[in-house]
Amino acid sequence: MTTTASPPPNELRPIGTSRPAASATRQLAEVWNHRSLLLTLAGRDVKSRHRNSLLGFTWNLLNPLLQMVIYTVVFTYFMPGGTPMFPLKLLTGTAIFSLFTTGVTNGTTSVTGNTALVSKIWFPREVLPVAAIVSNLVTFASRISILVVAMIIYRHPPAWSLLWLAVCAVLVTMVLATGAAVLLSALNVYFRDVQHFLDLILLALFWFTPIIWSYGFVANELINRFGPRWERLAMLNPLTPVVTVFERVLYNPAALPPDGQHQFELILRPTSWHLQNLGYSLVVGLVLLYIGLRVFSRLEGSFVENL
Amino acid sequence: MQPAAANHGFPLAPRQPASREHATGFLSKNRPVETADDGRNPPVAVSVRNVGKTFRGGTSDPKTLKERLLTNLSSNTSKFLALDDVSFDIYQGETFGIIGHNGSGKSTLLKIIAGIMRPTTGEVLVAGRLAALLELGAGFHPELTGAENIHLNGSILGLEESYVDELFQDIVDFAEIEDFIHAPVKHYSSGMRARLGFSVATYLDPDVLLIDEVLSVGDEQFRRKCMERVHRFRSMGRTMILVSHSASTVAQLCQRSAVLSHGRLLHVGDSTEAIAIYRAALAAGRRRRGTAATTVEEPTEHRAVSIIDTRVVTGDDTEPTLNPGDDVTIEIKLEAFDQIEGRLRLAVKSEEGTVLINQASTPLLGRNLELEPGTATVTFTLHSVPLRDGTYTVDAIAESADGRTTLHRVGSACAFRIVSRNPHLGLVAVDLSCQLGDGSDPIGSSSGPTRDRSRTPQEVAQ
Repeated sequence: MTTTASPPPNELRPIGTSRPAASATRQLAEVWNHRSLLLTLAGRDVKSRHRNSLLGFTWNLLNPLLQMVIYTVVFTYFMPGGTPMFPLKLLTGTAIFSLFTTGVTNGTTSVTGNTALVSKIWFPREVLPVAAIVSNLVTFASRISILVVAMIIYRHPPAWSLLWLAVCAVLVTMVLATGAAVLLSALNVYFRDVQHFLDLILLALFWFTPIIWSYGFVANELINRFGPRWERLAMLNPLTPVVTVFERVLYNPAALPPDGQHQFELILRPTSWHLQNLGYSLVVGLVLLYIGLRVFSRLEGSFVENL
Repeated sequence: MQPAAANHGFPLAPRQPASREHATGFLSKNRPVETADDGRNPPVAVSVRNVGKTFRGGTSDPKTLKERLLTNLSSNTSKFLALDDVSFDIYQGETFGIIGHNGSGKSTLLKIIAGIMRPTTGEVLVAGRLAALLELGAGFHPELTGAENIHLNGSILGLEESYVDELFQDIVDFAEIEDFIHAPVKHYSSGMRARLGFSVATYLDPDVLLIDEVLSVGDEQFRRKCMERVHRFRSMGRTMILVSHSASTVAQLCQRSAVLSHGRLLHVGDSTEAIAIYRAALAAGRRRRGTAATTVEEPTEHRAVSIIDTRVVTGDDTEPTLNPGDDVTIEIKLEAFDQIEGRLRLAVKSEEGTVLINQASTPLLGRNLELEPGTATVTFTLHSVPLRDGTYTVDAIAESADGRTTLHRVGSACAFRIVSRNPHLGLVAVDLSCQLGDGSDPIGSSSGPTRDRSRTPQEVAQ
């Protein structure tokens, strides 16, 4: 599978963490060289997550379904928002949002949770948070399959011609999640507060992302109050672009009956608008990844002492 | 004593190279193989360069932000220098020992060489793939099965999947865990884990193997197998680093050794020399603490007999130094409080705690000791002791006549040291000779067989 990661045996080179990695690209190259290790660790993550649980893998399906039922009951009966096919919108938003949150949550504890390996053997430690992100693709796939079933039940087609845009959104989300996971996994070795604080941050992030509510509500409010230039403010959260893209493609407001479309007018804009937004998220993600990798390389040298 | 690496005249790399690429040859900037300039030494496998490590002390590790802030405010972070400017080179194909007392910085150095800890100053360079067996185990993931862990270690070492598959059966056979190979490693016994660790590390064919005290675990039979494996590994021309506080293990396996004491490098060089220096350092440490060896006295409530003094008669140092083949005379002073019939037992132990001699007085005297109230002296003489270099401690035990009750026991009551003029390895010092041919051949026997000069008691006595 993998080619050997080591240079010819006669060449002296610094071992393991003995010197901080020179650059972020060097760190990523090391992760790539150890991709078979990465896949082994990711596979183990998937397996061990459901070991010792009765329903096992079914939790991946039950979890989003129960979540959907609760929010649907609340937002169609207790607090009607007038969104057509609300469950479908919710499943679309939570699918991509959870790719980020579960990835970051599992990534944050990936170093502290692997003491046995980290304290005994050297491998590029960056593999750990990245493996956590990769293993979450399985959970993501199960959420997407629920979404597909829901679309069939509602007889509501996605925007077929824009599917590639949704794939871009997934990739951008993974960059964002990897950046955050690499940064937080290193910090968590020193400050265990990080993992507790994270829950709070992610909860705030959930309500500041157009999953339950629609992007149009906030954007229109900003436009009406401060003028059209201020719509940008609604896109400040780097997760907003990926969620709106997902909504545009999979919830596909264009296929809704005309009277349900008005709150989605803004996201029915041309593809270039979505690409521009995704570009912003990608830049944020890359900056986060760069900072994460550099902080990681500074801190990894004394992981063992602090575990 | 000088750190050795500085003397070899290597073209040392800049202490802080600008980038990792520079040294790794990443982006095809290959560095030439480093060799000694005199051309005698093989290429360097591991280069330890000015390595220092400082730990921030503290009562307990602060783990949360609050604790961090509070400890920083009270600024009671004491620093502890675990390693101080350690430099040496290990050559390819060599078995290298690292010895030192507990807390000498051995384990820290090992973790730095293994690459799992970053030194505060200096750096370690390694040629090729390195596998480490730290604290009795390889890097195993407890949730994964033995089989999965074998593959995990293979991929960490950067080996092809197919190559690991080829070796798989050998690894399992050697570790003797056929029945449990598909069970998670967390359910393994510590022995099974150690066996699998050793098997994985030696079969996955690293260029440099690092072993920390691993040879001291497992049952007798497995230990023998490990030893054979280590010898095989060595004859294959692989580099090995062995860390131990057992001087005899190091003496048997390593050509060269480094001696660490309190984080400083005392010596690098020939193992026999290194062990002598290690022992001298230990003895010096003991003298500083005021005791020849920590004397352990077993308190007995109503003593009928008390051992007052035990000493080695030859020499008047706290730790008399003798040559192999000398007579050792041990004098034990007793005080009896009653009229009593009993016997005295003498035990001589090696540094590793192996009992070499365990002898009661009765068979030697032909009768029990019949003591009157007051003091008495008993003298044991060990004739021409066939012991190799080392420090030996003596236990004195006063027992009842039937040997069932211990009346008074003084552990490590005294000690003696044996230093030969011509140090050699092994457990016993016997009178050795060597000649060329079957003995009738006149070549080399013109003045009789060449005798090991230090081992001849007659010569020593002269």
